[in-house]
Amino acid sequence: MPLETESRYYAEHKAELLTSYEGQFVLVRGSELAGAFTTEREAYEAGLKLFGNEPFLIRRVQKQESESAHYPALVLGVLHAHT
Amino acid sequence: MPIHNYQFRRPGPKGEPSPEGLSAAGPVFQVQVEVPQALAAFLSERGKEIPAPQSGWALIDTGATRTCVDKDVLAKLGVQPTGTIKTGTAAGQVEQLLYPAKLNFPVAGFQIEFGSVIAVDLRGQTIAGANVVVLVGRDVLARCLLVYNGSAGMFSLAM
Repeated sequence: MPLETESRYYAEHKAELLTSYEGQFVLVRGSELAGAFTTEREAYEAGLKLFGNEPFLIRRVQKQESESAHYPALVLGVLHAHT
Repeated sequence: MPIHNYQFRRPGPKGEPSPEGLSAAGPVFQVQVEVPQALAAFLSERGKEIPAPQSGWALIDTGATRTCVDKDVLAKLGVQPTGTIKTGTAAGQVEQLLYPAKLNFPVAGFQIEFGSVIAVDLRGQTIAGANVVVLVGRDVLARCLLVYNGSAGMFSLAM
């Protein structure tokens, strides 16, 4: 799966990233931090400039990992259930 | 504030409201999934072709926490992932990829540039012969007024 290396890097360095970049969007490619940005869009534009249209990780640095997502109708296969 | 009203009607000269039509199709409207503006600019600056928008239905899904886009559609647009998110499934939590995307709702008259949407498999989800390619989740609805008038076969979305 793409971004496994980047996600691992983020998890391993989260504590230090929090110290320097809490609330910002970090850009990670491979096992390297490429920058920190105020907005997600700025991070995306920087990622395109640095790496081209390739997978890279953009993550907001925050203590509380905000979310998991749910879409139960699709998961349960009842998005369009008919009798 | 753009307002999208849609009323399902029964066939025939009277064109009576169709609660069953809304019930069967759900609150759907036409959508075009496009590459994000930043990627369009990036490709344009390099003289590369910008992939054509992908059309289909967007279904408002009040059960979805985040907006989801069909993964085949994202692949056709050539957009690359920028994140992951844990999603709840019957088999437990799994990681899904996040992609930046721009959604254009031509009939409703508004566009949304997403920092990220969740890529999901919407194959086989069709309404009136067209594919459902987007589930509009509560991240969008958080900024909208949605009225679902089942007995009148109509819904309104104001953004």
